[in-house]
Amino acid sequence: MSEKPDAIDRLAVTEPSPGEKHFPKFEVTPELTAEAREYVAQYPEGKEQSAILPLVHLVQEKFGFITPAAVEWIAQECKSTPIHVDGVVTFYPGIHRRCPGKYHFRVCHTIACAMSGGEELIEHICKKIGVNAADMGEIDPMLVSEDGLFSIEPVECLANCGFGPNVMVNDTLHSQMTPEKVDALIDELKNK
Amino acid sequence: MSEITYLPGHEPHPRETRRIFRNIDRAGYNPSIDCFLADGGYETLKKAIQMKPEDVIAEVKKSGLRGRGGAGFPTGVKWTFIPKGNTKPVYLVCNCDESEPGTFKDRFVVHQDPHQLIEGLVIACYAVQAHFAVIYMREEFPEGAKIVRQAIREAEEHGFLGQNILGSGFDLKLILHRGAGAYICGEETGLINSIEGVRPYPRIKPPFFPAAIGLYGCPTIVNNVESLCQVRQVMMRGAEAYAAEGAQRSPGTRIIGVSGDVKRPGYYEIVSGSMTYGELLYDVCGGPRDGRKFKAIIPGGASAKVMRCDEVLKAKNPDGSVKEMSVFDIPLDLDSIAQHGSMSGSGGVIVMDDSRSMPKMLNNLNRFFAWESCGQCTPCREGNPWMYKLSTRICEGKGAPEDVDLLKSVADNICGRTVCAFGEACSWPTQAFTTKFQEEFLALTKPINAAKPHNPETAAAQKFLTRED
Repeated sequence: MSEKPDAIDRLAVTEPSPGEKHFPKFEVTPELTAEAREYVAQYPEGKEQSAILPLVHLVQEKFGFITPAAVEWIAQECKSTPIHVDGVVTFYPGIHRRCPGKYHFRVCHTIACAMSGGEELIEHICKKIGVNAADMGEIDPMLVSEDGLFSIEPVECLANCGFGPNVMVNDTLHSQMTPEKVDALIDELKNK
Repeated sequence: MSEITYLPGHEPHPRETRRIFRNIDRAGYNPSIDCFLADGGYETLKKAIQMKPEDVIAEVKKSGLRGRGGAGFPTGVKWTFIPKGNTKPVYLVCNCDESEPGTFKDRFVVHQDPHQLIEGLVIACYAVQAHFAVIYMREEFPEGAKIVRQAIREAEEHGFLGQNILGSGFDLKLILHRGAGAYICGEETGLINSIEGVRPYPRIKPPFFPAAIGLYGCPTIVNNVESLCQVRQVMMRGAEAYAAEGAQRSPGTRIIGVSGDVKRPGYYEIVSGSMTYGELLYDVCGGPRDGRKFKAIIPGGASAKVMRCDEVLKAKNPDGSVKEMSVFDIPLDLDSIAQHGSMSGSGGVIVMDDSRSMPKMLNNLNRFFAWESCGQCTPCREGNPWMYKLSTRICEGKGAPEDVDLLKSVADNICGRTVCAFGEACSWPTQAFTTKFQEEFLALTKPINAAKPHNPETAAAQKFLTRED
């Protein structure tokens, strides 16, 4: 028996992350429920389960990541079960089950971006925000800086291959990035 | 129509024909409906909605329009696959999960000119009589999602969506559904499962052809963003005019995204078959970087088989004689390159020059496919990480010559043995790279490596295999 929790055990716990201090804690408010029901109502009658992904995005936008409590709430709103929602949530790499930093960097390292320096950029950003690129996990490669302000995650193709390397910071795409441009961006975000 | 001015530095190349990308990078243009209406937007819908739905389908069929998502299936024919006498609701899904590495065309449509997509989509929905449609957009377009949601709202306000569209009695509800970063959601049945709120494992065909059993078990038409925009072009210009332009078997314009080692990478909309790969790369894209030579081209997104630039290809002249040509002489349409073992797919051209190590390029692709395999079928789930491990080992100089053969045999045993086309998509690069650039792979290997353990575990296990007495 290994002492490490296995994949099923890990569903029930949230690994702590320094990013959490920059996001509000998950709680269900009447406004949140109202917004959620709007999404659920978009789908045909009896197909509430379709709203799982929209609700996941809703929670992630407001609270940064998906906690077991959020999974239970989503299951309830979508007339599904928590284990089913967990099944969906664990499939997608775009869904965080650990809190990212306030500014989440997604750096593309697929072929075209890699050819224009995406891999080097990942190492550069890691150094700049004070994390060790070698610590990236195989299943969840996201690394969060100690102050919780920044996080980095190498991702596959962002569909802007002609203008690499591409970096997405939260919702904004920055193309043709260089180490200098990234440094300037990080400094600017730090002083915000 | 008046002359269009484009933003400085973003002017189209003189050999381009901008139709879908007409308003991309246009000076003074924004995604709002006002801009679109001023440019003659939604006029085609007004025309189409007065026709009979079957006539719209006939028109699209006659135009010879072929889907732009990669497979190139005739769009009009796809629409007729809805079973006759169907009593269930029909759905239409727009595939905006653009995630094939090398492809970047739909991004610009949804970010800069979303109303042309909505107009094409409403026409398509009218043709197949769908009253509920979904735009499935990848999660990596958060700004695009906001723009399209706003566009849907505007179209509803103007009566182009919702109840009784333009007084025709036709109702359509359109929603946007966002994915969450999975490549497999671009596969149409995986996409449907993603909308249904279950894990997006592709479904097996037969019986799950979406046109027969799709979203919620009902007939569903899945079309790519560019295909729907092309539907609008067909209805705007008429099937005959549309079919007359470009290659006979794949008419219309195509959006080609060029990335990698060329002087001017970017997106180019050209008439299908109007130029060769050589003209595209040398004339339009400015040729290789200074002091470099082209070495290889991936002609249709990451899963297309790589083509060697110095390879001599054989093709038949119209009189039956055989001529020798290179990849640069192949016309840029949907079918020509297929005769030479690759595919034109989604129009993403990735170019590599002589500074690139081919095993490294393949290793990058193998990592992509290993990461994106959905895990439903064993050959793909286990085979992809295996291929990634093998190509990594070769790149690190720890491989033996046999590893190259093993790598190819793993690929050979994935393709054709999976539920969806991902099995082919992931094995084609390995098959092509290891065959066409075998010498580069072999140069990195050493025979002695075959006897060495690959990792600490095998090193530990090896002590049980050696006799110490």
